[in-house]
Order: sequence, then structure tokens, then C-alpha cells
Amino acid sequence: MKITILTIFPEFFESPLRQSLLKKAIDSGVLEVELIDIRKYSTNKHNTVDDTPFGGGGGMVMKIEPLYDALSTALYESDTQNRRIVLTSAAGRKYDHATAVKYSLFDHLIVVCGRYKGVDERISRFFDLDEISIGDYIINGGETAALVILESVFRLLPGSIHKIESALSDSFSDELLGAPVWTRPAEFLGQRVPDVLVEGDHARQERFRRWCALKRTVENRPDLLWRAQLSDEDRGMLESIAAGREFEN
Amino acid sequence: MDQELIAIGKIVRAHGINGELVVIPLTDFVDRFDDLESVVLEAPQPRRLAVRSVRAHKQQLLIALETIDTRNDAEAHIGEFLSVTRAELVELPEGTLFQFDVVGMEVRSEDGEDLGKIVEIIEMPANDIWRVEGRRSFNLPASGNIILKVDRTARVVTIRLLEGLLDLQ
Repeated sequence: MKITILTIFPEFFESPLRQSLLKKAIDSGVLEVELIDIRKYSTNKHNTVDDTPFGGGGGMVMKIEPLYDALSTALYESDTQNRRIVLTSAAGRKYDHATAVKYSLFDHLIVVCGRYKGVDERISRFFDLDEISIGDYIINGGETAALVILESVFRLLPGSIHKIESALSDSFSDELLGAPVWTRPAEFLGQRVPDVLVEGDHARQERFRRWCALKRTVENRPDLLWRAQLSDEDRGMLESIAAGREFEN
Repeated sequence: MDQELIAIGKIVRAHGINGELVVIPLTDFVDRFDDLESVVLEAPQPRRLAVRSVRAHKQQLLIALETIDTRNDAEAHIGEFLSVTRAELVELPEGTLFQFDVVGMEVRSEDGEDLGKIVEIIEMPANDIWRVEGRRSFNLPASGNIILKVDRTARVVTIRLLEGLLDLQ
């Protein structure tokens, strides 16, 4: 698979592309990454790639000419039709795993790193673009988002991740968050591991873990509770958690 | 399939001057290194090397392999995997599956409808998500009230088709 990244900061990607699994994927030929410096396609002598928006308003807008030329070059040099162009944009559709899976099936992914307030809207008249946002927060530019897309896509490519000898249980979890865990030492700077875990009563430990899992789920992911399989004992625990009591039993 | 390699460790550093390798275990069964006789190194081409010694070192392992005798030898292998073949995998405790075996299994509804194949396991805090690709692709929560049966021999997972499940894209 080939991933082309169009950016005004190609050096941003130097270090990540040299690290661990990404490097391995590139070295082994599973992945080819091409960086295109949009600034090289600037048409004026100051190499500017941005300008003020028509109609006023704050911020700068990425100009269309350099981006158009850079994208045209990327497409001209693309040797497959099985490709997709992605524009990172705060206004885009939310990126998720399913999208990563979809992108990993293309032979060529072209990612345009948006910058500034946005990209001249007319770019979408010339190219079929997926506008993608990695989340509802502001980052300096699309480079970080492009890296997220790059990493999530490449690890789905065959050969880039090894099969490892890890196992999972065939009795499946019941949709609660896992209970917190502790390890030695039993006391650290005055903080002790819960007594129940140090004493040898395994049935009680089991109830304690269940209590903790329920409490954590209530606190962090209450949405998981509605589909969890709860016993009468669980319901009792939930009531006492809701009443603010500590684990007793 | 029998020559398929499964990684059990990754070489991250050289240790000392005699070619010892610092290895991060990539297995849920770290004790398996105690009586490991040989491993396969994959690059540049797969070859089997006898294990001379294994000792624990913090959360990692120090492993000496035949023909790797100097620090230079050891450094040349940084980043590589120590692997075994399928026949050499540890015997699984009852009630467990290898993650990589789940990948590729077929998913069917209780009524026998073919829903696709599992392509990936994504570990999540509440329960794992199994990515299923088929006529429709969806994210299957590997949870007790959805997964009814895993048939290892037939490589089929039977699920309860809860309303809205196929919409978990």
C-alpha cells in the first residue's frame, strides 16, 4: 500500500516514520510513504500557501492553487485507480476504526493535511475528497491527524503486525469495565493495597472485584450497564454503591 | 499453515559482550521460556537456533542463542522476533482460545445466517470488539450475552443477533 501525505511540514513525519513498526512496515515493503511539500507548489516568490478569507472573518485559509497542483501531481503519479483522497478537517466526518479498515483496503491513500482555518472550499469541486476529523478538539494542523490515520491504517495491513502467542477466554465478559488491579509492594508511601486482597478469602475477593467493576462502570461508563447481565447480588451491590457505601461483605 | 510462525518475543537490546539478547515476551505464557529448546529467527530468512540460556531480567528476559556470540552479533538482531511454529505453541488452558485463531472464524446467527468473518480483535476496556466483515461489516462486542458458542473445530462463532447489532459500524 502507498500512502501519500501532502503537507506544508514534511519534516513533521520524519521521526515517526523511522520508529519501530512503521519503519519495519516500510522496510519490508508492506507500506510506502510519500511526502509532498505543498509549499513547493506555491506560485508566488514568498512561497505563501495561505491568504485571508473573502468576506472577512479571522484566521487564514489555505490557498487553492498550490494544493490543486500538489494534488494533481500526486494523482498523476498514482499508478492505481483503487485510491482515496482524505482531507483532514475539523469540520469533517468523525474518524473511527471502521473507516481505518475501509482505507486499509485501498492501494493508494492520499492524505491532505489541512491547516489554518480551513482549505478553500473549491478544492472539493475538483477532487473527490473524504473530509475527516479525528475528534472534537482543536489541534495546530492536520499533520497530527494524518499521523493518526497513517498509524491506524498501516497496522491493519497484512504482514505489518505479527501473530503473537496471546490467548483470550471463551467465556466472554459481561460488559462491565475491568476491576482495578494492584501488585507488590503491599504498601507504597503509606498507600496500602485493599486488605481483602491480601487476606486469603477467595470468595470475598471475588465479590470485591465484582463490586469494584460495578463501581467503576457506574462512574466511568454507565452506558454499559443497560446491556450488562446483572445478577440479584449485582443489583444489591449497585444499590449500595448508589447509596455511597463502601464495600463491606 | 504448519510453517506459520507465531512470535513469542521481540529482541529489543543487546546485553553484555557475549551476545545475550534482551527480549520482551510477546506471550501470555512467560514460563514457556524456561524450557524452550530452540526458536526461529525470521530475518533475513527464517532459521532455527538452539537456546543456550534464558534468565529473567526485570520485566524482560536475557536469552543466549547459538551462533550469536558477540555484542555486535546481538545488536544486528535488534527489532527481530523470536518465533515458534504452530506445533510448538503452548497447550491452552481449558476455556481459552488463541487470539489469532479467532481471526478468520465465521460468524453466524442462531438461525444459521452467515454474517461474515472475523478480521480483527480490538481490545477495549469493557470487552473486546471483534471486527466482522461480510455482506455487511460490523463491530461485534465479544460479550457473554451476544456470543452464544465458539466452535473451534468448525471455526464458527454463533451469536445472538440483538436488534441494532449490525449497525455497530
